[in-house]
Amino acid sequence: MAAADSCDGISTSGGGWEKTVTLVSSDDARFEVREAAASLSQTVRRMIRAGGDGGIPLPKVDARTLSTVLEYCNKHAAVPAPAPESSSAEAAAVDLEWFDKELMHVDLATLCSLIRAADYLEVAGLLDLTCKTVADMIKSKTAEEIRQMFGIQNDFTPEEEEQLSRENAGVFE
Amino acid sequence: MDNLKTSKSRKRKASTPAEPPIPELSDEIVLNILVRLPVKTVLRCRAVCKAWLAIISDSSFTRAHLRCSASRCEQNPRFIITPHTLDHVPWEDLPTTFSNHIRFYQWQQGAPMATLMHDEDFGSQFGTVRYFAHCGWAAPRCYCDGLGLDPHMGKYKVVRAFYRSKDPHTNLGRNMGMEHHHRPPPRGLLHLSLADETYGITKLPASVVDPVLPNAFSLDELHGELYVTELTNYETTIIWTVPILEEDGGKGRRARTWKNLFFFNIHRYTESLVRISV
Repeated sequence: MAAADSCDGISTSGGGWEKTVTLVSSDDARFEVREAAASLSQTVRRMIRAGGDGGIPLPKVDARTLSTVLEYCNKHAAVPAPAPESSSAEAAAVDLEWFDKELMHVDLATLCSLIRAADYLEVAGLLDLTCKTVADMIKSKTAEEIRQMFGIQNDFTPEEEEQLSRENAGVFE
Repeated sequence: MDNLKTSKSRKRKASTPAEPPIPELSDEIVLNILVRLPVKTVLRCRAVCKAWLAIISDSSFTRAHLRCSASRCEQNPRFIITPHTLDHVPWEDLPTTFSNHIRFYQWQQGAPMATLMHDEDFGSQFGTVRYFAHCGWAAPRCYCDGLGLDPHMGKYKVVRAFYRSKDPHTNLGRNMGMEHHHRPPPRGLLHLSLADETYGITKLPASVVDPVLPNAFSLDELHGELYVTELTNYETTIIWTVPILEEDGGKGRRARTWKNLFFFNIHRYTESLVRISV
C-alpha cells in the first residue's frame, strides 16, 4: 500500500488546483476530499494542522458512515458564503435544505452511526441535523415504543414505573 | 459481553436478526437529542430507562433544554390570533355584542397564512379549557380569560378564571384557575406570570364603578403599560395607565398607582373623540 501524502492536489472544475486530504476509515477505505470540505470536521481540521503522512486515520468511523459524512461536508462546503438578499443565495439555501432532508432518509441504525460519527468528527451542522431527526422520530412515541426503537431494556420496577406515570399525569391533566 | 457495559445501566436486548443493531449512544448524545423535544415528550422519556431518567433529572439538562427552546422560539416565533367577530351585524349604533365563539388561528413567522386550530391541536395541554369553536361541543362558549406565549418554554398558556363552590363533590377546574368561597371577587385584574405561574392582582382605579359590568371598562396593553379605558357614564371616557413591570423584583412591592392619562367627552353621533384635557 503506497503511503500517499495527506495533502495532495486535484484539479477543480474551475481549472484551478484545490488542496485535498486523504481520510482513512476504520476499515481502511481511503477517501480523497477537498480540504475545505474535510475542515467542516473540527477533529480533521486539528489533525491537518498537526500534519502527518499516509492520510488521516479515523478509527472510529467505518467507510459506509464516513462516505455519508463526506457527502454532507462536500455539499455544505460547496455553498459559497451567503450573500444576503440575493436570489441565488436563497435558492442555494433551499437546495441545501432539500439535500439535508434527503440525506436523513435512512434507518435508525444508520442515523445513530451518523450521530456518533458527527459527534466524534465534530461536524456541528450534521450533529444538529441528525439529532433533530432522531428527536422528531421520538416525539410521538411512548416510552415502550422508544425502548423498542433503540433496543433499550426497561430497568424500572413496576412500582417505579407507576410512580413516574403518576408524576406525569399530575403535570398534564 | 463488553458492549453491554457501556453507558451506565443501559442494556441492549438481542435484536432480531433482520434489523441491524442500533449503535449505542453516549449519555451526551442522548442529552443532545432529548433537549430538542417538547416538555411533554421529555417527561414521557423519563420512563424509558434509568439512564435516561438520570440524564433528564440532572439540572444541566433543564438548563440546556431551556436554552434550546428559547433559541428555537426566537428563530421561529409563533403567534396565536383570535379575531373578534360579531354575533350579528347591528343595524344601527355601535356594535355591542361580540361573539363568544372564539376561533384560534396559529401563524408562524414565514408562513404564508395562518391556520385554524382545532381542539385536538392543543392536545391535552388545556385540560378543562376546551371551549373552542370546532371542538364538537354542542354550545361552545369560551371562558378563556387570558392567553399568552411563554417564550422560554415556547408554549402557550391559557388562564381561565372561574368560581368554585365549596362543595367538595364538585370536581371542577384542575387547571389554572382561581377559587372564591362565596366572597365577592376582588375589585381588580387577575394577572398571571407565565414564567412561574403565580397569580397577582392589580387593583383597578377606584372610580371604576363595577368591574363585573360588561361595559364598565376595557383593557389594553401597550409598551409594557396597562391601559384601562373607563366609561364613566355615557358621555365621558377616562383612560388610565399603570406600568406592568415591577422594578423591585417583587419584594417590598409598592402599590402601583394608576395615572389618569386622558379623558374624553364623547359626542354621540359624531365620528371622532374630542380631547378635552390631558
